[in-house]
Amino acid sequence: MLAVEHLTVAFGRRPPAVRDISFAIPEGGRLGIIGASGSGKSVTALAIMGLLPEYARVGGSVKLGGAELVGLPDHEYSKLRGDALTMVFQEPMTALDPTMRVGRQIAEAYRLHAQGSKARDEVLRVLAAVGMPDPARVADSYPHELSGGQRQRALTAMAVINRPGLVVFDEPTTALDMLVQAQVLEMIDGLLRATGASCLFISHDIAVVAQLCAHILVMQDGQAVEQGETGQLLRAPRHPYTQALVAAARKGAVRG
Amino acid sequence: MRKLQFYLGLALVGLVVSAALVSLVWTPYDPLQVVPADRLLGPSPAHPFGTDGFGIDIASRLLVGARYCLLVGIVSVTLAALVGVPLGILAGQVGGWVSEVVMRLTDIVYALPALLLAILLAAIFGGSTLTAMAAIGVATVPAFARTARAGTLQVMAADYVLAARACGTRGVALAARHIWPNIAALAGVQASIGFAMAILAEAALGYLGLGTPRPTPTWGTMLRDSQEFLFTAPLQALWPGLAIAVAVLGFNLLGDGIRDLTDPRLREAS
Ligand SMILES: Nc1ncnc2c1ncn2[C@@H]1O[C@H](COP(=O)(O)OP(=O)(O)O)[C@@H](O)[C@H]1O
Ligand SMILES: [Mg+2]
Repeated sequence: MLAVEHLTVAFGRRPPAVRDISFAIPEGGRLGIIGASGSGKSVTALAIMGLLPEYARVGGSVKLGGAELVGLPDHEYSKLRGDALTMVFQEPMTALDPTMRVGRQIAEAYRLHAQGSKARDEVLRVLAAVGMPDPARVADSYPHELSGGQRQRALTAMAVINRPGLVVFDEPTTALDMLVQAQVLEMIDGLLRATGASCLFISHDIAVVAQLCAHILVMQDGQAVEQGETGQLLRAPRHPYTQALVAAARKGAVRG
Repeated sequence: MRKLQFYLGLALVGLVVSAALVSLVWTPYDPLQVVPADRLLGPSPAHPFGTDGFGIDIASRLLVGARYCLLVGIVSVTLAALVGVPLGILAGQVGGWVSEVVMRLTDIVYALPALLLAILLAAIFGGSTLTAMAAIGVATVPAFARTARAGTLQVMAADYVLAARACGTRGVALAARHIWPNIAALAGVQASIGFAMAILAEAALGYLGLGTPRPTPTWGTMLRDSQEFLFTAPLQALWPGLAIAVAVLGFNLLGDGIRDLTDPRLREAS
C-alpha cells in the first residue's frame, strides 16, 4: 500500500534531517515509528503527506498504491490528501483553526471529496464514531471551547471522514494526560479496525506504539536504526538505542 | 493602558466621523459663501474658530473638510486593501516565483512616492479628489501586500493550515477559510495605520494644490490658504493643522490599539 524507499530530507545546507529511510506498510497494516524528539519523525510524516515547506529537498521514493508521490505538484497531491491519505497532528491546541466552528472544519474536509450528500449528517456520524458524547454540541463549538481530548478526537474525525486508505498519526496522544491518552488510543484502534485503514503511527513512547502496531521502526538522528515485528523487537532488541528504549519502558511499566 | 490607547483612538476618530456626519446636514454658516466684510475675524461667539481670508466661517469649513478627509481615507484604503491583501496572500501562499514577482512589483510601487504619482495623475487628468484618492490608494498597496504576505507566511506554517491541507484543502478555499480569517485583524491594523497615512497625504496634496480643487474646503487647502497670513493671523494655520493632527493621531492610536488588543501573535508579524 505505502512503500517508502531511501527517503532523504534536507533543509538548506544542514545535514539531512531524515536519511535513507525505507519501510513498507501493507494494505490494512500498521507501522509504528519511535524515536527521540528531533529524530526526524515529523519530517518523515510530512514528506509522505507532501506538506514540507518548499525549501525542503526530498530525495528517494514514496509510493502509494504503486504511484510515485515524490515530486508530485501540490494541486495533484491535494486531490489525494484527505481522500487516499491523511494525517492527524500532534498538538490538538493548534491543529484546529481557532476562527472556525469544529463542525464546519470537518464538513469542509468532507465536501472536498464528496458531492451532493448531506455534510452535517456525515459530520455528526463521524464525531460519534470517534467517541464524542455530544456530537451536535461539539460541531457547533469553537476549538477553544473543547478539551484537549475532544479536540484530538475532532481532528481525527476531520482526517478520517472520507475513509482514507492510509492515516498518519503524528504523536496524537503526546499532548494529552494519561487517562485521556488511553481513551484516545482505544478510539484510534477501534476506528482503524472498523475502516480497515492502514496506519503510520508516530510516537516517542514505545509502550504506546507497541499497543497499537504490529511493526515498529526505530529512528535516531534521522536514520532508521532498527525495524521489525513488535514482539520480536521488544523481546530481542539488537541496536543499543532500541535496547535502552525497551529497558526504560520496562522500568516505567514496573514502577507505574 | 492598552485599552486606554484604543479608546482614545476611538474617541478621536469618533470626533472626526461625527464632524463629517454633522456637516452633511448642518454647518453654522455656508462653507462657500464669501463675506468680504468678515475677513480674518478672530474667535468669537459668532465664529468660534474665526473666519478665513475670504470671510468664510472656519468652523463650517473644518466640518466639511472632515468629510473629504474621511472620503479620501476610506476610498484609498479600500482600494489599497482590495488589491494589496489578495496579492499578499497569493505571494505568501504560493511562494516561489509568484512571490518574487509580486514582491518586486510592490517594491517598485513602494519606491514611487504617492506625491510623484499624484503629480503625474494631476498633470494628466487635472488635480481632483479622484486623482488624490487614486494616487494615495496605489501608493498604499505595497503596505497591505507586505503585511498580508507576512501574516500569510506565519499562518501557512501553523498546524491548523497543515491539518486543513492534510485533508485536501487548497487554493482559494484555503485562502478564504483559513488564511484570511486569521490575518483579518492584522489587515485591520494596517487599514487604520494606512488611514492615518492617507489623511496626511491628502492634506499634503491639498496643500500643494494637487488634490481637491477650490473652493471645496479640505484641511490641506485650508492650510495652504492660511500660509498667506502666517504672521498676521497665525490661528488660520492652527485650526486645520490641529484637525489633521487629531485625525492622524486617532487612526494611529486605533491601529495600535487593535494590534495590542488582538492576538499577541500579530505583534510579531507586523
Ligand atoms: N521546516 C523545517 N525547517 C528546518 N528544519 C526543520 C524543519 N522541520 C524540522 N526540521 C529539523 O529536522 C529535524 C527533525 O525534526 P522533526 O522531524 O520535527 O523531529 P521529531 O522526531 O521530534 O518529530 C530537527 O532537527 C528539526 O530542527
Ligand atoms: Mg514531531
